[in-house]
Amino acid sequence: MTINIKDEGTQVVAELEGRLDTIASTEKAASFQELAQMAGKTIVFDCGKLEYISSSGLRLLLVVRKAAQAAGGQVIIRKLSDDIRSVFTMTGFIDIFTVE
Amino acid sequence: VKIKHYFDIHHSLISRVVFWTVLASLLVFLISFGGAMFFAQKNISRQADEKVNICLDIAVSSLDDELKGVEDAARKTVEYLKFNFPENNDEVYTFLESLTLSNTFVQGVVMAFETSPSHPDGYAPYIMEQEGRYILRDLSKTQPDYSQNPWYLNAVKQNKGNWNKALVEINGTKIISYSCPFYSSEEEFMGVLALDVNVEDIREQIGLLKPYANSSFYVLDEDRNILIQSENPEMEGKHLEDKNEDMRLYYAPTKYGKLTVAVELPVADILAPVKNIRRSLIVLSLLGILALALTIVIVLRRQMGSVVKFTQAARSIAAGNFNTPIPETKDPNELQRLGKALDEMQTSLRTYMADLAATQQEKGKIENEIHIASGIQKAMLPKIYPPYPDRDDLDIYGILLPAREVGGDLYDFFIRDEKLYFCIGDVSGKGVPASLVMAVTRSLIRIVSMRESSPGSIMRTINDSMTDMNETAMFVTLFIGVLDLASGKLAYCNGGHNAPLLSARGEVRMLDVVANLPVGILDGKTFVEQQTQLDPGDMVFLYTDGLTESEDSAHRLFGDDAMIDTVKASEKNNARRTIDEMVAKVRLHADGAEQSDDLTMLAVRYMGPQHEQRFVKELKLRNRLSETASLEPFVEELGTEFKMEKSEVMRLNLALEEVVVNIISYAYPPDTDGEISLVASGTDDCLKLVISDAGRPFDPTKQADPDITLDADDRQIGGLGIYLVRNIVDTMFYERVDRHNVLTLRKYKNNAIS
Repeated sequence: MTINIKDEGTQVVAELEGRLDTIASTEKAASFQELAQMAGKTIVFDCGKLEYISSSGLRLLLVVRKAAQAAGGQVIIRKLSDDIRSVFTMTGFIDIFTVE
Repeated sequence: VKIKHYFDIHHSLISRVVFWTVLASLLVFLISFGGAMFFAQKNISRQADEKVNICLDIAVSSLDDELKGVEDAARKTVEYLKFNFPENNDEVYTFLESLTLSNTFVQGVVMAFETSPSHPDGYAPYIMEQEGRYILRDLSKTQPDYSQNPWYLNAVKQNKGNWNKALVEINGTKIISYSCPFYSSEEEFMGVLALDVNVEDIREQIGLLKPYANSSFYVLDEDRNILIQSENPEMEGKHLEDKNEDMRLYYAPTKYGKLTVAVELPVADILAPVKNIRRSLIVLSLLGILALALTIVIVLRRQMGSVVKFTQAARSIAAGNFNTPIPETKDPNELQRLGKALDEMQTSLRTYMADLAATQQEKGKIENEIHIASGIQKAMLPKIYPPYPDRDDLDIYGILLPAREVGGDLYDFFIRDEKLYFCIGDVSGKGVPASLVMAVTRSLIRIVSMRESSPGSIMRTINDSMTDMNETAMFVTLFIGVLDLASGKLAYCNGGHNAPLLSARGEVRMLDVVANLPVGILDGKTFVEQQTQLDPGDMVFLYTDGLTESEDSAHRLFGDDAMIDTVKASEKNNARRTIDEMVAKVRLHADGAEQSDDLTMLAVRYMGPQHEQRFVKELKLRNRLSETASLEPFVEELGTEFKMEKSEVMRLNLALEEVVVNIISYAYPPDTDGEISLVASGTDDCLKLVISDAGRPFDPTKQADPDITLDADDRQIGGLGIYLVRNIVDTMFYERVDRHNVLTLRKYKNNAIS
């Protein structure tokens, strides 16, 4: 699992690649914290290469989303695969995020 | 307390008796005393009157004797003078002296001559006794106008003897006088002869007139002027007034002398004897009443002793000491009778208690028997769940919650020749009779089903046997189903029972049933048999009216709609969870109201035909997060074996990861080492995953679902894992087996349920 964060000035793009399972969520929690601190800007999660997400991964996304809401920013999810999308649908996350 | 009680009884009873007795005695005493006093006073008063009047009469007549003597002397003297008139002064004096001496009552005599030529200035020789000597003088010298005095004038005017009013002599002597005219032999008026009587002599004469110690007497003249007051001489000369209430006056007039003698007497003196009697009467009566009260107190207290003993005995009996001796009493009848009554009461109580104990024992025996019957009845119900742990084609669960210890509801199921026979029934009536019929029915079903496989035939055979032996007019509503487990074909027959629910593909509806008659009513009756096809995942939910007619405290029924809604909401739950939810809903509805009828439910979910097990794979993990990495290859392997699509594999991976992470997080305490075992087995249609761990009891299926409709702000971080699992697999149930948490997940091919 890799997370590639690019600060593009007005927005921050985080490219998620691989499996965001429980282990990965533990490992990458710091990166998501970093993102949460930049929540004033628009945060874009690029999920084009995301293969898998567990509830821990969803939890990390929710933390960022909450931080954005508090800072007045927004979170955009891009390029969701059908499989991941089904997980988002099951959990109602599809309604919480701006999914493009 | 006993002592206080003793005194209470005494105080109240004795004081009341004494109070009323004394009051009554006082009343009687007062009435008789008043009467006695009244008559005694009257009597005494009359006696006093008589006594005083007698004394007065004696006094007056003795006085009259003397005064008559004076009058007689005067009259004789006048007669005498007519013939023997004294020749000279000396003879006159001698005559007067002898006249004075002749009568002791006469103190002085005056012979007052009318003025005449020989006595132009008048002549009135007067002799009077003074201190034993006779003094002679001529009244005309001291009273030249004597002929104008009333005593003189009266005698002249009336020309006869006459008593005159009292007057006081020069020497202070008070006298009354009798004056009468005297004549010469020629009947010529010569003058007036007056005889004086000393009032003091009168006083002496009647001085003994003292009928009472405090009485006094008066001598009054005709104008009620007091001449004599025996005790109080200061009053003499005054007028006697009628005045004093405290005094009583008796009058007696004299015949001679124009006097009245009166006796004055204090009323108190008259009534003194009465007063004495009264005092002693009061003292005696009060002593009597006191004695009466004392007697009552003593007698009652003695009697009360028995009563207190009886009271203590009664209390002791009331406390359960039925052999308490009843105290003997030598007291009067009433108390003996009370004692006897207590004795009888004790005897009948003893008998009653013995009867009661026998009855209780009998009742206990019956209760015990009913308890045993209840056990037997429970034993007739399937009680091991899951009943067929190795079968993947069936999820079945039933309960019977009796309203009483034994009841008339029944349900049963068993598999014969790859067919599931299941039934639910409700015997009319309640209690032991119903339970017997229930037992008979259940046994008949078992026996008949051994050789019959058509529910209609089973129903008819049972009906015929039961109608035959049913003389108590009890009947059973019964639903029998026979599910062909290979094909899902369900044959069923309804004998007057509530239509079961069929939950199929998200729809919940009443199973189409022909009502038919209940079993046990009409001999030879045929029962319409019906058929339907169950698809994998379909569930039949059977129940008795104890469910739909469950009441809350206001007698509102639980109803069909609530039941259907609950079944619908349990669409993804296994049979057990469905029924548990239903029980929870009913309890919520009843809200503490007593369960009035047996509550019986049976849920049968058909999972599709059982296929031969094609593979078994196992994975063992330690309780560390890093271990979850081995899940992915495991699931990939399963996916290949089970021919799953890539997305399905991903979701299964997700489900397993969430389960395992949950166990690592919750089942094992931190820093303890534990194992998690995953066993996957597959048939053509079903993938079964059994995840077990030796951690503390933890049932993930009990975890509440998160609310996925909330805003990001309100969403809880966490709680999503099990929710995801529940959404991904088709069935999930948890058991605690041998100190292990065992979670069984099933995933059907083609996603039969979801």
